[in-house]
Amino acid sequence: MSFDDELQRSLQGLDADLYAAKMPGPAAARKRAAQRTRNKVMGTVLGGVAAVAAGAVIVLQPFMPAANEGPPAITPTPTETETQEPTNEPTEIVSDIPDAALMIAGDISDENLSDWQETDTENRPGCHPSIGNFDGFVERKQATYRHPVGGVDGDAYYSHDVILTEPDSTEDVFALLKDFVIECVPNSERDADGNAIMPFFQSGGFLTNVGDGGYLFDYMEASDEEFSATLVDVSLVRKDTAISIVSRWYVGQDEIGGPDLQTPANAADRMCQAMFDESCVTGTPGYEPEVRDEPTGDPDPTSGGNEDDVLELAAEPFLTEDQINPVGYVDSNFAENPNPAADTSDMAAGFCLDDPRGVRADDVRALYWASDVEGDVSETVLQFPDAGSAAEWLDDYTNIVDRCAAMGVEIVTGDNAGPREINQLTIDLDNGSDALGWEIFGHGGGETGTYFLGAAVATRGNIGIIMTFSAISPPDDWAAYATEKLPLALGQATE
Amino acid sequence: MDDIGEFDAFYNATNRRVLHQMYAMTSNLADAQECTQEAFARAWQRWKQVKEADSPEAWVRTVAWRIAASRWRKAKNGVAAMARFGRPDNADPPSPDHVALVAALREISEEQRRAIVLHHLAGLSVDEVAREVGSPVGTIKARLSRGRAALAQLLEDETPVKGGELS
Repeated sequence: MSFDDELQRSLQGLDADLYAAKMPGPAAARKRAAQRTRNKVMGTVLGGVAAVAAGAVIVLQPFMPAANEGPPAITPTPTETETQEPTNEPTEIVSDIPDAALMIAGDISDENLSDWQETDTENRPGCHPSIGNFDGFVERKQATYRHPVGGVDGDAYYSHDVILTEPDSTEDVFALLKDFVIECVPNSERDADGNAIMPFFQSGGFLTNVGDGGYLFDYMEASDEEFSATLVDVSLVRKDTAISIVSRWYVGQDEIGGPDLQTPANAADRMCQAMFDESCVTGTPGYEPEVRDEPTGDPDPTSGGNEDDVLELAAEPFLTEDQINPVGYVDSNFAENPNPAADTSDMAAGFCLDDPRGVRADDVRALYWASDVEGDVSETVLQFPDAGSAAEWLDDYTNIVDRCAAMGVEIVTGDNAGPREINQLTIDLDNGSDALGWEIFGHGGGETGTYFLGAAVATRGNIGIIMTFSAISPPDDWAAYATEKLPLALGQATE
Repeated sequence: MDDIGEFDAFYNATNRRVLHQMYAMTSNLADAQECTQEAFARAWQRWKQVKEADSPEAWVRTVAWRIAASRWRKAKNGVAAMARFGRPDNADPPSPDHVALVAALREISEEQRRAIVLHHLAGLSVDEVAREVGSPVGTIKARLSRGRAALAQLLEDETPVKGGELS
C-alpha cells in the first residue's frame, strides 16, 4: 500500500474518534446564529458591546482634531525647492510618484491567504480618505488587490494609495486625511435597540516604528449582507513629503484576527525605498490605542450614592486600562480586547453568573481586557430601573456555592474535569455600596487543566457592576483586587 | 421545503463530514466541534445565499477553517467558557491508533494540513483544493508534497499508524 493510500485510510479512520462526539444539531446552530446576530453587528448589549465599548473609550480624544491653525502653508513647488541649500531633509526633492512606490501583492501580510490579484475595482469602502485637491496636494497613485476567499462572507481587498505633498505640507495633509476619517465615522455608540449606527468607529491608535508618524483606524460600514458589515482598517503613514494609505476591507461579522500592522509597514517601506531611497521601518510595527484623557468632573469614586436616586450611566462608564492594571497576575499587561472569543452567556455561566443580558436592567454594557498570557478581565455595568431591582440582583449571589450547584455548573464540568473549589469572599465597600465576591478553582487534568475564575458584583443605588477574571492560574489576591476596583468602577459608571 | 427544513437537511447531511475534516485540520476535536458549529450558524444567517453556492458544504468548511485560524491567532478568552463546560464530554482523546497521526498533523504547517485534508480526506482534486484555498495549483502541489514528506517522517519517528505500514 502506498503512503498516499495509507494516509487516506488513516485520515478516514479518524472518523472513529467522532463516534462519541455530539454535535448539537441544526436547531442549536440556528439559535446560535440568532445570538450572534444580537451580539455582533446588530449587537444588543453584551457580545458586540466589547467592540463598542472599546471604541467608545478610545473615540473621544482622537475625534477632537487639533486646533486648526489655518490652511496649510503654500510652499514653493518642488521644482523651486530643488535650488535650496541641502538640509537634513531629503537631499533630492521628489517631484512625482514612481510606480514602484506602490505595494505589490507580496507585501500583503496574511498568514492564511496568498496570491492576491491586482484589480481595477473602484469599490472603495465608504469613509476611505480618497480625497484630493486640497492644499499641499501634488499627486496620488493607488493600487488595489483582491482575494476571492479573503473574507468570511466574500472577497477581501487591500488598497494602497500614495500621496505626494508639497514640502512642509505633509503633516497638515496627514492631519486632514485623519480628520476626514474621524468626521466620516462619528458613531461609537449604538441606538436604543443596541444596533450599531453605521458607519461605526471601533478603534483608532498610533502605528509605531513606521515612517515619521502613523495612525490606524478600525471601523465598519453597512453592507448588503443582512447580518454583516463591511469591516475596514485604514492606516496612514507619512514620510518626508509622502503619505502611504493602506486599507483592508471585507464583509463579515467580526474581524478576522487583529489589525494588520505588517502590511501597512511593508507598503510604506516600499514607498520610502522608491521615493527616498531609504527604509522607513525602524522596528517591529506596533499599535498604541489612542486613549482619551481622564474624564473630569466625575463624581468622587469614593462617595456613596443616595439609594433613592436613579443614577444614569456615564458616556464612558468603564475603568480605564490604567485602572485595570496591574491585576496581580503573572502578566498584568492587560489591554482592551474588542473581540472576546467565547460566547458571553457561556462566559457568564462559567462564573455562575446569570447572563447579564437576561437580567431586568435597562442598560447593560461590557468591556473586556486580555493579557498576552491566557488571562481575561471583564467589567459589566448594569443600570437597573431602581435600587430595589439592583439589590435583588445582588442578593442572588449571596450563596454562590448553592447557586453554582443550581446552575448545574458542577455537573457539566464532566467526570474528567476533576474537583472544583468554590469560595465565597468577603468584600467590604464603604459609602453605601454593597458587594459580593467569589472564586472558583478548577483542579481538573487532561485538556481542562487547572484554571481560576474570580468574580465580584457590587451595587450602588440602581447601578450594578460585575468584574470577572479568568486565567490558568490565580492572581495574587482576587478579593483585594476586587475590593480596590469596585468602588472605582461604581464611581466611573455614573455621571 | 422551507428554509428551516432545507438548512436542517443540509446540516444533517454534512455536519459529520465537516466535523471530521475540521478535526483533521485542527487536530483537536473540541476545537473542530466549535468551529464547525459556528460555521453552520453563520451559514444559517445567510442561508439564502449559501444554499445557492456551488458547494454550500465547501462554504461551511472554508468558514470553519477561517474561524479556526482566527482563533489560533487570538487564542484568548477560552478559560471561562471552558470552565462552563469543562472538558467536553465528546472530546475523548483519539484512539491509540490515531494518536500518532493526530500528533503528526499538529506538527506540519496549517496550510500543509489543510491541503492534505482537502485532498486526501475530502477527496478534492488538486485543482479543487487550489480553488477552495485560493492559491495556485503549483502552491498546492508543493504543500501536498512537503506535507506528505513531513508526515511520513513524523510517523516513522512515532508510533506507526495502524500497524506501521507507512513507508
